[in-house]
Amino acid sequence: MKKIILILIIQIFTITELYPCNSCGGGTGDLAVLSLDGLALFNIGFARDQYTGIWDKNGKWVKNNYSQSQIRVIFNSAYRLNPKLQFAVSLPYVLNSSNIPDLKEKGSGIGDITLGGRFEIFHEFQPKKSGKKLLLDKKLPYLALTFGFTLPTGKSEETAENDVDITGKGFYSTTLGISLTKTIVRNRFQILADANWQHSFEKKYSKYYGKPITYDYRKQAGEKFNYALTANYIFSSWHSVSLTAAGFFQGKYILNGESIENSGERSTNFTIAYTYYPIVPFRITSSVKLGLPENNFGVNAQGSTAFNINFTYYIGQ
Amino acid sequence: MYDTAAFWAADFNCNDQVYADSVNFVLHYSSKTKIIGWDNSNLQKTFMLTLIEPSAPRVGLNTLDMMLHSTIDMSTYTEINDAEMMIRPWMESMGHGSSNNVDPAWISPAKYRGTVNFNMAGEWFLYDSIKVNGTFITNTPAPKFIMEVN
Repeated sequence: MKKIILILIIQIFTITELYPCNSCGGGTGDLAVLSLDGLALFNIGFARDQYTGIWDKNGKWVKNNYSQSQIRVIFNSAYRLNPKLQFAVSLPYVLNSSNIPDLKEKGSGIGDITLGGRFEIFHEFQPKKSGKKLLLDKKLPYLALTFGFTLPTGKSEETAENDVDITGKGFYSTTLGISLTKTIVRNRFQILADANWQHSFEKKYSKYYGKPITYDYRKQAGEKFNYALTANYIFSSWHSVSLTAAGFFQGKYILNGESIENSGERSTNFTIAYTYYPIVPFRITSSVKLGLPENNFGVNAQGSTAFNINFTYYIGQ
Repeated sequence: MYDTAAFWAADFNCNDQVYADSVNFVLHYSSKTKIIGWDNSNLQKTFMLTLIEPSAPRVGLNTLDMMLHSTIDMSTYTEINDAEMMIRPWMESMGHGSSNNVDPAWISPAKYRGTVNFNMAGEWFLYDSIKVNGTFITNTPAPKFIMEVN
């Protein structure tokens, strides 16, 4: 059962990824995570974001008048090096579509590859010495330092010739964060908290939408703070359900060395996920993510309704 | 009036019987002005760029019509018919621009037509860098119109 609980952590983290809009490209997020007794895992996920509108710079919701969506097929893999350290890689393939009149309607390509890992400081329910006895620790949570590095392997607004051809950010970024899990009722109910700080590096453009530019154009996204809080309920060895509230805050853009007023971003969304375990090394998770189309749930950010299904195969130690 | 320091005033004369001199109008500068003026000290001229369309910008491709004039006394305006315009739409709050824009080209005296793509609702800046006889007449940064796109 412990294995199942830890696998659930993986799933919850994969569904709380925060993906930006068509015109901003792919995104970074947490990778597949192995339980303590896991050696490796392979995961393929299908996610579809239907963009419903944006929150403008005042936090006012503006509905999308056209249909714009993004489908991501994401291949994830994770490998455990030792009981404290594991690494992972995520390779997305991005398909964009839009029905804005007179513009190209479909585009696709490889997105930004993310390499990451986690250093696990504590695991839950580990044996500990109490005098001469070996007892099971029930106090310590699962705690890990997480880190990631995203490479601009996708097509960004520098080289893409149309909005729908954008599949990546175009710049390098790193993440550093913590991941915490506390079981409230063993084998039944957990609370998970995940937070990370994302730093993006400056990008100097020589072209924009494929056209050479002569002016100085350097852009850097603001410092970003991602968060997710999840409640997970395990019905049995076959079924579980989780609820997640997630979002981000991002500082102002820096253009040619100067920060731009009113360019900070913020977003909040909610996810419900169901996981089914037909056999022990395999699981299927489906989820729905909602960004509430209400004022003040975001600023300068796109809202979407997302559907996600993940298939994961797990190899034990 | 083309900047925040100027003002408008009017003299009234009704059938040479009623007079009113220098009646000031209290006007406030709007960031969403459709007319932009700037001085070019090298040419000793003031240039005026007027946005005609889009009057109600929307998401997607919009026809862009602009007029370009110069003046030396702010009362007589000369049409400029040989300008080369390069537009750059920019959504500053989200740090991106757009594709599929067509730079405005001359279509009739002083009038230029192009296409601008706003790929998202919200506030957009539309920069226009202008050359005449191979020399930029616009300053840096280029003059911009601010538009609210729906």
